[in-house]
Amino acid sequence: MRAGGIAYLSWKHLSYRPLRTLTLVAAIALTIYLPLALYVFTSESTRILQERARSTPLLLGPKGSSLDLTLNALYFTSQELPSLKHLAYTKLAKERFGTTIPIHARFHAKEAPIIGTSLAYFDARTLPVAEGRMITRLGDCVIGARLARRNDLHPGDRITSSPENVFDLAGVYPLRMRITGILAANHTPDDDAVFADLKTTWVIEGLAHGHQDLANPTAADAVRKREGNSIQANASVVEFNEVTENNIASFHFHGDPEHYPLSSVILIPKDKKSRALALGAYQGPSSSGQLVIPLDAVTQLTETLFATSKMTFAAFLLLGLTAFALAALVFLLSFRLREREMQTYAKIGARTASLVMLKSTEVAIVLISGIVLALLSAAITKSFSAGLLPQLLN
Amino acid sequence: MLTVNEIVFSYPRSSFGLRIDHFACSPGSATAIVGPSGCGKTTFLNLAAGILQPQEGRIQLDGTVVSMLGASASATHRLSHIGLIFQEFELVEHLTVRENILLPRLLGLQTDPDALEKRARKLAEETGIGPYWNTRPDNLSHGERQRVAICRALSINPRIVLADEPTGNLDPTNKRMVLDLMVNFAKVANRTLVVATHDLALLEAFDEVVQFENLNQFAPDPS
Repeated sequence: MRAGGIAYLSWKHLSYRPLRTLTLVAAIALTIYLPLALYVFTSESTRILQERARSTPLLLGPKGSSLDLTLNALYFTSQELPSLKHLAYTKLAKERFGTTIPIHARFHAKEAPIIGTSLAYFDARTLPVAEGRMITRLGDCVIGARLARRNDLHPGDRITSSPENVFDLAGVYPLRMRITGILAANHTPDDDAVFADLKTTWVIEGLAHGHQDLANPTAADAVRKREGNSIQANASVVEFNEVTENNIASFHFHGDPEHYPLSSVILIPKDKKSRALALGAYQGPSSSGQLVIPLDAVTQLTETLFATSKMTFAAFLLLGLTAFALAALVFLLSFRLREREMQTYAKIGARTASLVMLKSTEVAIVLISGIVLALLSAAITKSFSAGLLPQLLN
Repeated sequence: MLTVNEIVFSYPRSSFGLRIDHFACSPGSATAIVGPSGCGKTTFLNLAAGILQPQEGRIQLDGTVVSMLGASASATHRLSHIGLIFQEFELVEHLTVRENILLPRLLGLQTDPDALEKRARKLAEETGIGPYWNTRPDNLSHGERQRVAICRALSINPRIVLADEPTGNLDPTNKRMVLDLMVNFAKVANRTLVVATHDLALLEAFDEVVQFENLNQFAPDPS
């Protein structure tokens, strides 16, 4: 028996009916790929979610869903909970439990989230600037590697925040920010975000602004009323939509900054004792916010994810069995139709074992091709799942 | 040399039975087996090839007792030493002319591949199917297909060629050509040729004609 000859005969028959062969390979590949992709995506999602959650030990935020709070702080999903007051951050920082990092993740630019934070965020996430330099003043921002690549942005370019509502003329004001640097890629949602100082996001929120100097005679047309040191402007006053070296001095805040909004505060406790103390401090119902453990919230999410995927997996398994049964039927019918060909081989001198091998090789080629295709597709899915997850969360 | 002695064969659950007391044909000879349909010509060729095993008797080809070989040994013997030609050509539609002729090697024939290919190519040129070397059989005429089948049978340089109604589906011109090819091979290569046919017009080409009468048939005991 020549295995090479038998394999050649099998291959010749399969390639003679390419449509049938490809359909069988695709059906088998899909049957294996679907549950495999589900498993790959679920486990990869769990790994990614837990990895980021582990690097964020504690999170202070407003009361409400701990999962929403965690996803907003870690994945910059849309803010579902009310804002936290800056006062909460100041209070937590004073307790000296560890490093405190404010997060204000409400606004967007080019569909990327704008994160108002402090420089401590970049140290905590080990996120260095790969090109350009770090933010130095109001109106500066650094952007994630993927966002820069996708939009061909470089240090020195400008990026403008998107108004939240086009009809809300008095609301969130578009701010043209100066890109001072591009962050190194870390394959997390940071790669798709715009990072600015917390105060810059307050400017976008309309809590701070800069406009032409009304005391200057050139701004006389914009003055509505003067009463001693107080000057009231009319609607023609020119507000600045970009912070520059020339107008930075004109930017000022209205109201008490301690009441300004924040989405959350990351707390990296200095030791176990500080962690326990911090958790205790925010346990009571009288506390103004909640201190959550992101890993717990994410674990809860992944458990739900796994429970759902188990049901889907069972459905795929049934579908897979059906597909395999159909593939077996196709092969059986094909072999029955080729009975005469097999008889010819036998008459010429092929042994029964050779004929069994011929049929088995055909089935094996189709099965192995299907399995290889499924594994390749699963590997591709795995490489894409890291980028797909934040999009799905949004 | 093919020798058949006192063979008895019957199909399971069938009223047909075949008994042959003696049959022999020597190398270099062309023998025709004639007789009405259903008289056992095809059964006899299958017995001679070792595809069927007789219940009694002995079939011997050049010292090998074909009737005593097991299924696997019989297949190997057939692959190496017996050239079979069928009425319906029995070409494999998804293989080219070249691959059809070299089919015995693909099925396990142990031989020098280069020598086999060279011989197959020579046969194809001689029979006029050389230009179709890489063509599939469905693009060939009946006559061309039967010539491919003959090349397949002869490519292994068999000790014996067994042909079952090889001209049954051919026009008169092709009939003569195909027959001449087989008879010529037997003469030149000093091999045995046995052809089952009902075409009496072709009998003059054979050295010997054996009439299979109803006498060779018997009704087996149902028990």
